Amino acid sequence: MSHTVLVCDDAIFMRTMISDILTQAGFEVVGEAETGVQAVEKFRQLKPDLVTMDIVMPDMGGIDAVREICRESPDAKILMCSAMGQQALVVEAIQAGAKDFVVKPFQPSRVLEAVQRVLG
Amino acid sequence: MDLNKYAALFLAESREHLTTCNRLLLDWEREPGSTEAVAGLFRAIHSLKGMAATMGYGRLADLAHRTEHLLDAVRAGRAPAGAGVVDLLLKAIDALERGVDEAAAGADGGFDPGDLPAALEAAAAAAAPTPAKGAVRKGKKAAEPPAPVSAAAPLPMPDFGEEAGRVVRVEIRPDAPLLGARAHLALRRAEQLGKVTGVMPPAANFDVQGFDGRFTFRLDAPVGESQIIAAIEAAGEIASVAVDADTVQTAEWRIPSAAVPAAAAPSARSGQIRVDRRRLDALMSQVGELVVARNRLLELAQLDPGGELEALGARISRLVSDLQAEIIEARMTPVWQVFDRFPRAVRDLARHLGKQIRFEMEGEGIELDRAILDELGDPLLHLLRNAVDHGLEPPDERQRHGKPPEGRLVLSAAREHSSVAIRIQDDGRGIDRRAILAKAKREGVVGPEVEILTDDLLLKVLGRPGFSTAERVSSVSGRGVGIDVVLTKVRAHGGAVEIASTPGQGTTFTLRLPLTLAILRVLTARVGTERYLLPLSYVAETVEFDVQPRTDVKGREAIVLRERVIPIVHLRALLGVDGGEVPPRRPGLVLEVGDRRSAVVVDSLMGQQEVVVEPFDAPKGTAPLFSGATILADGTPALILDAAALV
Amino acid sequence: MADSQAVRVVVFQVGNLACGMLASRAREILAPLPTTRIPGAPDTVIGLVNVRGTLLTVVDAHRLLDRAPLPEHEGALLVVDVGTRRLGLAVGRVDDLFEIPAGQLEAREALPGVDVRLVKAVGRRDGRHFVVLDTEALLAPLLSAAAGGDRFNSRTS
Repeated sequence: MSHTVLVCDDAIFMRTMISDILTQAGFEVVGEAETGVQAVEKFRQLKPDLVTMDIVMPDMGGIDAVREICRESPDAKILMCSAMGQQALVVEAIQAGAKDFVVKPFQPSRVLEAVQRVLG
Repeated sequence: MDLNKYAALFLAESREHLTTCNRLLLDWEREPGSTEAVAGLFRAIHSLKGMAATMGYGRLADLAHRTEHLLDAVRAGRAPAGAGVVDLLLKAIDALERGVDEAAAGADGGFDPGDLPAALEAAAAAAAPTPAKGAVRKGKKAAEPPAPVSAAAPLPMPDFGEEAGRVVRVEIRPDAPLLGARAHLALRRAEQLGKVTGVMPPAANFDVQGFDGRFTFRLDAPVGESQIIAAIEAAGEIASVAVDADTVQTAEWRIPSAAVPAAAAPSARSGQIRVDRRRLDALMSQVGELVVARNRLLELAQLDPGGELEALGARISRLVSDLQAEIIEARMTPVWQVFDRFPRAVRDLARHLGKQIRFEMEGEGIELDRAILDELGDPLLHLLRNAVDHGLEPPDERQRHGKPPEGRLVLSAAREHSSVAIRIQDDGRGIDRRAILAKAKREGVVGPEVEILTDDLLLKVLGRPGFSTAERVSSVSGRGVGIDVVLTKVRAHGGAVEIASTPGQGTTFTLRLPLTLAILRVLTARVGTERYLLPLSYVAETVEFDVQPRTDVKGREAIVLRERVIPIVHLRALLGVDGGEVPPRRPGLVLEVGDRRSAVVVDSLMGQQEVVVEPFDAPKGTAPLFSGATILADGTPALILDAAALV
Repeated sequence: MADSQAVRVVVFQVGNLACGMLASRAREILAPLPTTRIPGAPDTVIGLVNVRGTLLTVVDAHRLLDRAPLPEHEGALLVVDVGTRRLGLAVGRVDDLFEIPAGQLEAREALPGVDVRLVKAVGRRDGRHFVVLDTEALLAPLLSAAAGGDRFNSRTS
């Protein structure tokens, strides 16, 4: 059975691209969220195998969302999506419980490698 | 990966972000203390940068990066929103807009931001705080400031002797992005195996500039070497892992000059997905045909009252109505999507003309059919420009007339019955009717007997194509330019325009628009053997025409209804209908468009229905009385009368 | 070679006049449809018809060419492309649709009683002449200037 994924990013563009990359690799994107609050809600609701999480989002950023999700589900597998120059934030996200990260601009191969690592 | 299919999405979303930026910049300018505006700006530009980089639009991404950098610096430095910075950012937004368009058109390589990058850089440098000694980064423990180590000083060596466990040396692939973050991940993997101590360089300094991806630590875990290596390699991007390393490689690393992470702030406007308008249109037109088919079905069902067909017809009818309502709902778009670009335009023009203007928008959440809304941008912008240019006076002139120096311009949207009224209201000098009247007389637009230019007449005069372009009328120069275009656009969508202007107090334009284009509730009227449709939203009431008291106004027939004189329009005469018998008691439809009324006399009324408005090719000479046509349930075409043309 | 230069022509009757038009301009041929008059339009315009859910303005070929309709003609409607727009042309009867080598069409030529500006060429079929109408010249003058998005705004003052 394919793994289920929740894609969180405030840009439709990014959501579409990540979803496409993952779908083509056989994952099942079961939900999308465009704010941190939505990410937390949808995680509770969908219990996905994997979450991709943008850092900069309105209405609760990605890091707080990671913190919130990991507080409730310490085993949540969250992949951060970051831009160059966001190192400190990525570190913060890792400390909050994120399992790995990819850096924009995305290369499908790197995204999929990171996903494999996260899913272990 | 084929990026082309993302280009449209990139374009649409980038433009949206940039529009937001314009709005936020103006908010910020008004309220320099607002951190929310800056946070929103940062977020929008940050998103744009990510998208541009992903699309491979390097130049655009670079400009976005520099803009983001300036915003970051301003925010960190708590610098006030000086006019200089706002102007520079506005310029940057303009350039980004250009860049987005060019990139989407396949010409990112040709995008030339000029000296903007340098200007942004300089501004960022000026706005940034002086490099703070021991700058404390958010999320770090203040008690553990990064060690003040200079490149020259030797690194303190960890004292491995006092700790248990094996020494592990890790090297991250030097080309991996965000080396420090990757090192943190590797460390986390190690921590899952056992106790980690003596991390060198300290993990708190992994993310400083100059970290080269090499670090060591001591791991006390009940596992073998291969397990340690496998666990750490699972962190990804690992060049090498050595266990029981005897030497500790340290890198030269420096304290960062200034790097403050971005924090996210709340913002509105989410929860929507974008649907290609063509898809909605296609859906709408299919539902339109479904409505026609349903109407036909209902007619057939009437042949068999009480039968199964009637019950089925009623059920299908309900379903179609629900579906239709849903799709219309999906087409409804809040007006802010068009209004959003106006504050910037008004501000720029006001600045250019040396006017002080407080521009306000109301009812931005009011929704309209997207097909209508998309057509409204230019007419509205035109009216706003006119107000700024000609309606509102310069500060000194206003003061001479006892007005506050700052002029007020309000753009509002409001639901009124089944239509939406969009108003543009200024408190400027008003339209000089005498000058307009004189000019209209000279041009023969009105007869020499006209003494007063009423609001209605004023609109008719201003709305004549080309009126006042021939020469400038002192204080109202250009007032009429393009008003005809506004009228045409609005009326083409079944709407109406009104004008009200008071000397010294200002001018208000009202654009009245139907909520949706596609479906219209109409009253079917019989005239002779023909049928015509009237939009129900403009029918104020129906009266028994032949028993109403008559009068005449300046030779025009009128009825008197509740002490109000209402001019009569005989559709028979107007439309040149001659067949059929004229019944002795005819209904009159009182149409109301704004504050204008007329009583339209028809032979009989045949009930109400919903129709799908269809375009038709009006041949030359067609009476300018129709806003569209439709296909009735029996399959025959019928013309829809334009209420605004009848009053 | 001749094949590549063949022209498809629709031949029809307008009163006693045998006419033709390029088939590439004719979308379809329909039986007459109920028509709704358009007030104010010139008398060459019959009105609007409903062609499977789309409204079409129909023009009377008899009036355009000044021919009296013949009672034995049952009537037909040609759907004609005029530039980017589409009109209906009401004719007396459609006779034939055939290919004719381009060489057999004589360049426009005066025929008694037909405005030479409306004639593209003259052809011959079964020993009878027919005029190939220039549908653009015939119909375009009837269309208002407004096009495309302004189609249902009939104000063109």
